[in-house]
Amino acid sequence: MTAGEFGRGIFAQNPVFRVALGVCPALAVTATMADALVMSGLVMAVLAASNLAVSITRNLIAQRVRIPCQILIITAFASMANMLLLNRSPHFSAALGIYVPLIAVNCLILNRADAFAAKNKPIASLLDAIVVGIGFTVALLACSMIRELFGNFSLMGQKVIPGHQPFLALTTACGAFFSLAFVLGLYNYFMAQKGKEKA
Amino acid sequence: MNAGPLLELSVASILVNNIVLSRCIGVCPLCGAAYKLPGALGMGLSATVVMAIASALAWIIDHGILLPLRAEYLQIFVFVMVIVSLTLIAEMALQKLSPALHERTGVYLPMLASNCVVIAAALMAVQANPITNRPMTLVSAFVNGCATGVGYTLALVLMVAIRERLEYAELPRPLRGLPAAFLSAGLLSLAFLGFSGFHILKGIGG
Amino acid sequence: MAITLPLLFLGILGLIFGAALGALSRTSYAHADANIKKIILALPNVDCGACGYATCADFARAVAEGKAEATGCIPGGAKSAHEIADILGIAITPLDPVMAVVHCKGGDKEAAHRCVYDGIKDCHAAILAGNGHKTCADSCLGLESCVTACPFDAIHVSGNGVAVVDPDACTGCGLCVRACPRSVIDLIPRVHKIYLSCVNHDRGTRVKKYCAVGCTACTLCVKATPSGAITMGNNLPVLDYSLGENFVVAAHTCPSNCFVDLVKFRPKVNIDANCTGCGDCVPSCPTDAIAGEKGRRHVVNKEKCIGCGLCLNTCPVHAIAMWGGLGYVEDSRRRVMRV
Repeated sequence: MTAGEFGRGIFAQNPVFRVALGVCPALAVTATMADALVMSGLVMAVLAASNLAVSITRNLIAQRVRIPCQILIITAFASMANMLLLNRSPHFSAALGIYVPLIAVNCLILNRADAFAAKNKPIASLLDAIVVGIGFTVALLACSMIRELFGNFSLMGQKVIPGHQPFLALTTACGAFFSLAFVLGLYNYFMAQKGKEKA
Repeated sequence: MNAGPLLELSVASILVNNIVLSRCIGVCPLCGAAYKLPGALGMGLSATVVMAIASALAWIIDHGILLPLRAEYLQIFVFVMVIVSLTLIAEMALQKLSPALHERTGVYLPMLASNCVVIAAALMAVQANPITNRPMTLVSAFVNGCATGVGYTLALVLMVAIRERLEYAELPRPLRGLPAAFLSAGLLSLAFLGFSGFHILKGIGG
Repeated sequence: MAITLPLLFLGILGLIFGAALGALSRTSYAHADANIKKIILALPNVDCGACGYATCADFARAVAEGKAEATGCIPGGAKSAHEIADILGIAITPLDPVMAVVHCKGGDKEAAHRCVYDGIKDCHAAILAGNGHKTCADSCLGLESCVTACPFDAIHVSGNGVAVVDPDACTGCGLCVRACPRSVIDLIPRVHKIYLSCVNHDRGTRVKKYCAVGCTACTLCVKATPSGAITMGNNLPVLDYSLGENFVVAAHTCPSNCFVDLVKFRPKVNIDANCTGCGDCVPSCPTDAIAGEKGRRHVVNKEKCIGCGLCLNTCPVHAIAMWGGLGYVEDSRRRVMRV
């Protein structure tokens, strides 16, 4: 995989930025950067594991039942992730709440499994998972940075802007939608600029 | 079972803790497809039915099998397996029994198999009742599932209607399409924030 | 072990669901479905509705059940009709291919605007807001209702502000015809290369005031077509394609340039050595392109010749033939050959 392909996989061709695939439950946890980092780490781990598993077993599963089988494989890894988190860090487990089990039905993971891992070799699938996961992390970090900075005047728990009245609306679901809209809008803008430069 | 807490649970699930606009779960279909209004109603209706049944089933399996076996760790896996299988079986059965109904609502059933809202409803059925802070009963789990579905339909219909109108608006180019949809969702959730702290039996702020 | 019972439960659950799914899928996919799947692959799968069914899948099911004709898919054309006939093992006669044309050429350069429209970019909206922004009440508004409706990307609004169909991409599905609020778009058989590009029912100098390419009902085209294939109907020429007329003379004669000729390079006429110099062809040429002395071989002025073919049947020795840029050859015996 060349550096160009790598970069393109993270930004230009990443389904997270292009069609906002799989960000929905993650939106709810981006109120703080720490939560966002943990969530994106978990998603990347489940994505990598499930891509690898689906790719290794791709010739063993019949076509008719391939989607239910992929869902079950992803669910297994998501359950494992949930239990690991519960065990290692009850603080984050309580903070992320219901959204960690929901990784089991994350549209992004299912899409990568069906569109890529089911048709490609294990190493390629693993690389694809890592690249898409990095894009996902970038998206979540961008959203959470906006939300935490302006909604709480802090970054990673440290207060960086003095003042007592941050825009609390950003810490709610509304802020999640707005920050994602802003991030996607910025992405569209830079992609359009790049397109104009090439033309 | 007392009707009061059930009513309050319903209102909480439909308005106060709307699954789409307050919990950000189930936004996935909106990102992909551009539904028309009748399609959105069909999707919401089938989602409500599936969620109600899934909640009840999740409760039964959890209390009947998983808890006695001390296998709560299997919750997610079993729920996903049950929901996926049931939606696929329901879709095939509907196709045979009533092709007309299948055209309106059945085509959304495979999508619901991997939709976040159904799993979320099932998981909520085995957690504590947010109103009474005690474990859910079967009836309250079922009611919660129905109410969550109604709330999902409400949010879906609102967002699809706004999106249909937005097609004709001349927004700045980077904001057209998905960002506009999310902005409208954000405005809707801001509106729904007004319901927070609303207890139907005690009035606002009670 | 505390794990055996849960594993057993999972296994049994999986077996039950797997069996149920397998049993149901076997009963609901019958033999006919194999054919339906093959038919769906033969269709363009754009769900345009031209066949009368909502989706391509519905049409495929109807054809497999014998309720619909195999030639019903217009965008798929002869290709899909033949494929479906092969799948089902039936004989078909393909329909004549059609294409959409826009009967209006009055763009920003030619037609007058009576106001500025600043609203939703949709022709229906402009008409609701006061019958559109152009003075001609029947013209194309160029606000892209048809462009939105086309699933094949075959119609676009040109820089001049009127819709233009791309004949290569158009499949004749008819969605743009239904989308146009002014009914300016129409489906014509592909063999008809010349069509009228005006739909206004006004006449005389009034038309000239608001459109340079509008039909003024001057009837010059009617007089120029000896076969009588053009008649006037409500101040517009009505073209009768069934008489075999190619309308080249009418298109050339029109002073307002109201006709559109899809053939970019019309064939030119050539007089070969069999010519006896009788001169019977000279009066038939509308542009006086044939010249020559009596008894000597006549010559065609290629600049003046418009390729109408009126001279072909006048030659008693069949010395005139047409040679054209498209490889279309038609000799005086009216046999069409490909070069």
